[in-house]
Amino acid sequence: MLSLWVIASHFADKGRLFPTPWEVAAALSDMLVTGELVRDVVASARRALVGFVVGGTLGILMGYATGRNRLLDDSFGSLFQMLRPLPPISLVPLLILWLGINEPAKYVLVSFGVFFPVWINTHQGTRAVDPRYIWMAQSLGASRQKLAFEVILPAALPMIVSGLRTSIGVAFFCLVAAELAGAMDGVVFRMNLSQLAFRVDRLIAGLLVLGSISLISDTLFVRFINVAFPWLNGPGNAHDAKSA
Amino acid sequence: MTKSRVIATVTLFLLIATSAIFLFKQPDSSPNHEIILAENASPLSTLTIIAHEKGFFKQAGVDVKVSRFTSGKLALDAVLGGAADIATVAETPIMFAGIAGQDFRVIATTFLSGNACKVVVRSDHGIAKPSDLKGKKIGTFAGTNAEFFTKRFLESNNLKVSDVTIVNLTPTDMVIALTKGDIDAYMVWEPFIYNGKAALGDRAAIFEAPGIYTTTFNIVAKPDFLQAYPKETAAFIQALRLASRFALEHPTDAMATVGNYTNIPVPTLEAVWKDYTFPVTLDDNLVKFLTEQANWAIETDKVKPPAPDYRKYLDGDFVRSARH
Repeated sequence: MLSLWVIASHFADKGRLFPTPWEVAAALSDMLVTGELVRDVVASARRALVGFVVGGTLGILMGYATGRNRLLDDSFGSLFQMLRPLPPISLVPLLILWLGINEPAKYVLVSFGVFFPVWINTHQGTRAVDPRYIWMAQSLGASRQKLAFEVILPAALPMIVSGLRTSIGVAFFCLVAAELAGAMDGVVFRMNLSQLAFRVDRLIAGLLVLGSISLISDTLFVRFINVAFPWLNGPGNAHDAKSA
Repeated sequence: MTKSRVIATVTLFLLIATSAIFLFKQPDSSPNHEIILAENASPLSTLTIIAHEKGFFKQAGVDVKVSRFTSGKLALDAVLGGAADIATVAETPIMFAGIAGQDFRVIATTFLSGNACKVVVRSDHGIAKPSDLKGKKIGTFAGTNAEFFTKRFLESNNLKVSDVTIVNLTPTDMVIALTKGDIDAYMVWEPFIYNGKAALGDRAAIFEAPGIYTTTFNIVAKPDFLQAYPKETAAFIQALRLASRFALEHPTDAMATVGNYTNIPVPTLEAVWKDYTFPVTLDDNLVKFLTEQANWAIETDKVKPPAPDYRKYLDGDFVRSARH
């Protein structure tokens, strides 16, 4: 792949629209030396993490609620399905109007994107639990809390984990919208500036950084799941890094 | 190597090869070449808008297909990438393209204004004069001429950029943020100045600073295109001269045409038209503006020095021949 990149950039060098890998590496090194890269990565990772935690938590709660309660499903299901395909970038003007231009608006934007995959997976996972498990637990006198935490959620866990894992990528995808307004740092903010200044080397460097932190986050998530829920580590499970 | 890896490698190779071919695409040399114009659909492109809407391109004997872009930067990208022949673009993207070593020529300047950028402030936030901006939150569009104007405006009022808090916003978002009170002022171009004032009424005031920064809009093409199609390019410039005369002699009709094409209400255009001139020219003033902005871009670490000699990017032959 690197060889193909070198060949392509060599032939396209006249226009300086296709920098070589070394030029991109030099841009990365420059960004690292000035401290700009660390500052931007920290800012973007913080926005992605907060959005992931908030959106993921709400997604699990609402997914469980709509999966278990027909009335809530009828009330919110269609609304969520309607909102789900909206690109986060289309919400930027509304969020500025309602929440302003500071960090909370960015967290909400990322949470919005993260929420839906987690919600729908939790909803489906909760629905797909074998009713016999629930009847058995109920006949043994399990409380609602026990039913939720010891029967339904563990049974729906593979789907929930799959939704959460999908949302890691979505969180970084949402940064494009989140860092469009009111941001003065962040990987995507820097990429926008690089695009304006024809710094294609820095633009590609930004893409590589964004891809790398997304990959690292995904790897850490898989490791966490393997440690926290080792019984899920069976063949074909959604959190298996190799199968995904 | 597995089958899927072979397929992935071949697909990737084809993608890169296609990109390389696209980057190297030479203009076809068929007769009556239709010029693809990458146009930023804004009042700054008034002359090209009038030229195609009023039939001046046809009158000059050139076929032009218009491709609309939301910014001059994207229009310039289309030309540099080979997707269009000619772009309408402000001087800031040209300045960045020059520093980046891109291959292009500016063949005409078709818009000039020393008062196109202004400051919209919340007068109910205790801002009655420019010096009151000290310590306030100011919205600007980072990396564009709005940011350059912001620096110039602050300096001309004995303020430093560090005396205020700069907030990066797109022009549309600036109006919303000011209305909501998240920022105290913003510095940008039309129609966002008019929109901010219209949204806030008496709670907003406008500070003008004519002459501290000149906005230009220019016609840019690649040298190989100019070499392949000199007749078509000359006719294109001739059509712009006809449009320039039309804008001068029929301002009401020109405003209506531009307003209709850009969806900007005519009263908005009427409010600013006096600040705009639409020549078809090319001179050393553009070199001066580009060099000043290049120095700013270097000072603010947007790009690495050195600034190029921008004279090499100007080709005045077409403007000169259109005068005769």
